[in-house]
Amino acid sequence: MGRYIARRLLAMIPLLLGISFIVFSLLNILPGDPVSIMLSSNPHITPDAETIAQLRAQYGLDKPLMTQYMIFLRNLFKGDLGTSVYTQQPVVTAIAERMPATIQLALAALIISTAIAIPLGVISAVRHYSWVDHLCLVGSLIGISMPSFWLGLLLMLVFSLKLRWLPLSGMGYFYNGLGDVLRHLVMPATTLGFGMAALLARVTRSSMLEVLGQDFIRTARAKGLHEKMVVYRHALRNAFIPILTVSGMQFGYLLGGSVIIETIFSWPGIGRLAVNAIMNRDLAVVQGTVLVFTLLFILINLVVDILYAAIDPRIQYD
Amino acid sequence: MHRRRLVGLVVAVMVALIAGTGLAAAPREGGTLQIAVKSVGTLDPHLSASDFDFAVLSQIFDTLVATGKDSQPIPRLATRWENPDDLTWVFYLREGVYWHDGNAVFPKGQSRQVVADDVKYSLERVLNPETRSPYLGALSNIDRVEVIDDFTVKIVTKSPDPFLLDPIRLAGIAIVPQEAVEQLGSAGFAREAIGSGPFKLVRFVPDDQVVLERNENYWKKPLLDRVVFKVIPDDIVAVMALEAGDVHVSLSVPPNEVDRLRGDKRISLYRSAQGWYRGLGFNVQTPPFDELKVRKALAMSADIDSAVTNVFGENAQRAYGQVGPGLIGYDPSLKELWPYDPQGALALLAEAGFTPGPDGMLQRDGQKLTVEIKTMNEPARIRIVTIIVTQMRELGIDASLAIQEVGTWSADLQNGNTGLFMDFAYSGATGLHAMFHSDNIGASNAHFYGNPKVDELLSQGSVTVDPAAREVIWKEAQRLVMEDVVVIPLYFEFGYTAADARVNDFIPQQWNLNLVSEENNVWLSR
Repeated sequence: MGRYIARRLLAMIPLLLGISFIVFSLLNILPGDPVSIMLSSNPHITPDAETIAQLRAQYGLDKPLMTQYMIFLRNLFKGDLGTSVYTQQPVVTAIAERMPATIQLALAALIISTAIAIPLGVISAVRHYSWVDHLCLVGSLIGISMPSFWLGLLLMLVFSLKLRWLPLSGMGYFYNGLGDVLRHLVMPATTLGFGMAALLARVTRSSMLEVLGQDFIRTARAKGLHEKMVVYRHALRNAFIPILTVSGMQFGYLLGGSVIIETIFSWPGIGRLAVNAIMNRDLAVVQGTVLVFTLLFILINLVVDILYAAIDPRIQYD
Repeated sequence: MHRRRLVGLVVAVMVALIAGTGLAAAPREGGTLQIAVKSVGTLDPHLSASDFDFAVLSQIFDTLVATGKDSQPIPRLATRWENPDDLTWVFYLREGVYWHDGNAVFPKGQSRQVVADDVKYSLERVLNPETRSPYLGALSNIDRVEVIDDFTVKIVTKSPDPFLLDPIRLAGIAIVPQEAVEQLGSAGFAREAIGSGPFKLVRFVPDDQVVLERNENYWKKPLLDRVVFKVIPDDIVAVMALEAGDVHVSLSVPPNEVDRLRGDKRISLYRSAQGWYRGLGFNVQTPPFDELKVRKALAMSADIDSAVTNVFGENAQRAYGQVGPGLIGYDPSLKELWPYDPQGALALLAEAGFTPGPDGMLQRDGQKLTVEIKTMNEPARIRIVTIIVTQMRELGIDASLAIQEVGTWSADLQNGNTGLFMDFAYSGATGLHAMFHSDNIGASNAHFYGNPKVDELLSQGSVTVDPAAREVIWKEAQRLVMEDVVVIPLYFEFGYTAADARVNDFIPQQWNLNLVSEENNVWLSR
């Protein structure tokens, strides 16, 4: 197992380098220059050619592309992801500061969605074609097709503007107590988790249906096991691999940050950082966030693979 | 006895009356003012980039000069200033202003006074290319900064500069303490801002909030205990937050929400003193827009008055030139240059050789009159350009709208990859120079327009200190540009700020946001 993990981790290096090169090339093909965009978006100054040239030189943007990339790589190995053109902040700090917010939201959304989806998926499978199943199907369809910003605004309208139960936007902090954190977390996490729950419920249902039709379930029932035992102990555990795969993938997406949710709920996460950076052609920040997303995605997949072995003893690495 | 009782009664009534009126108007001390802003990028003023940054920075830092209600400069760190000659500005600093204490640089009670050396250091920091300040160009006319004594500082410019006070009063050119920048480093200073303004920094959480508390030592004691800037990136959500009572002020209100909010008694709306210029610009080197007749015809082909009224109602004013109302050079008499005359437009196009083809579209030598208007993705601009495009098409002009992401749009404008486009919006006093002087081609002059007479006037106006003389020059230059139909001016768009009706003595943001100034001291009623 140890060697397997080490091999997987080593394989990450060429992948990350390749991705960084693609991102770098793509951003340079895109029209628009960070310095000009920064200067022309500021209504109080007029960007004269001289200032643009001076600032471009300061950021090294006047150097040939390959040189710029080499500088980026050299700094990367020193753990330096560069500096934002907009805020002058080191990219490492910018990402590190927003990571906790993103992880908090993603974890909460994951918990909410699995707590809803798995029981619903199991019930739909056990009683398939019953009214519960149909209701779940309709619910999932709505969940998958409803745009998240719409659900978000709707929740805000009802729970913040009308009922005044929950704060409209922003993040809560532990120094204000756990209640503050939870009250701020409920709406964005539900909005984010809802779409994922819909998908997860469908996967759980189909995976369960497949397992429930297999011989060992019949055997378990023939042994006279209680139906609950059959469903939760024997069927669900065996149906878990696809559920885990989908959850892992989805969690990766959640960590990548949901830009729309973060914008609507004013959540200080990493998705907003990345999108603003793309809009502003803030190359260093885009590079940094994409690298971190990639790294997280690979790590989550690795964890999922390791969990496979834990769930199903037949799966072995090495 | 009787008389005594009567006198007593009269006195009592008078006391009650005075107390009553007094209570209604007496500013109340205390409370936390919550303000919604779209973003806060950095707390280092010299690297700031937006009005939202300015709103925060003008609480933490002092500028030499601030902007008053009537858009004129008012004292801030400098109590007065003078021009002994056209090249020299002398600023007299307020004495007894201290840097914020209780931080890593100045421990509690161990702060020092703000002196002329700080002013010199700050301006030179902006001018140093290594600082990477976007305001470098705005101060580039400064030749040197001299310290006369602790509270007197002299700025010498390379050429006479009537606009020097414009950048000087931006929060982006605020006065900062040298030891703080050096001890904390540039990145550290951007997070732990130490200034001398009416409020000091308590906490900055990027993309989330900036918490400030009253600076007890400020020369005018702030009435508010705290000010919290909440980052709410979505305009609509910011307005909802205001309605829900989560914030007291929203600094940006989308135009289509303004009319709805106007009916709400709990909310006060403030219109910006000046409007942003919005217009269509021609690249006068791209055929067929290099022909004056074609440009003139296009300007006559759409009913811009109705388009502006329909899209904006009272929230914008029709523009006939680039210089907006309230600024030197504003010239409503330019209206005569912009008639709506579709038949006249067709006649001009016929003179230029464009005749209806078999499909009814105008063409010349088998080529259609194709007009693609490039604009950034912003709802109001898209609506107005759509109306114009539709009217042009009715005349047989092959007009269309290209909506671009902002980076692509600005790159196309600067590279000249354009014909007709939604223009840059430099609205300040120097906007005319930026947009039409041939020195700025490829940067802010996206029209690739150069007219020696206009260049001469703009250069001359830029060094004319006397406002009356400058107005004459500026108007003449503007008229020439408009006669050349380099742009089709559309409208001046006003910005709106919405505030809870319990916020008193509030002045909408102009350059900086004055919560505590010589003119006001914002307070919250219960």
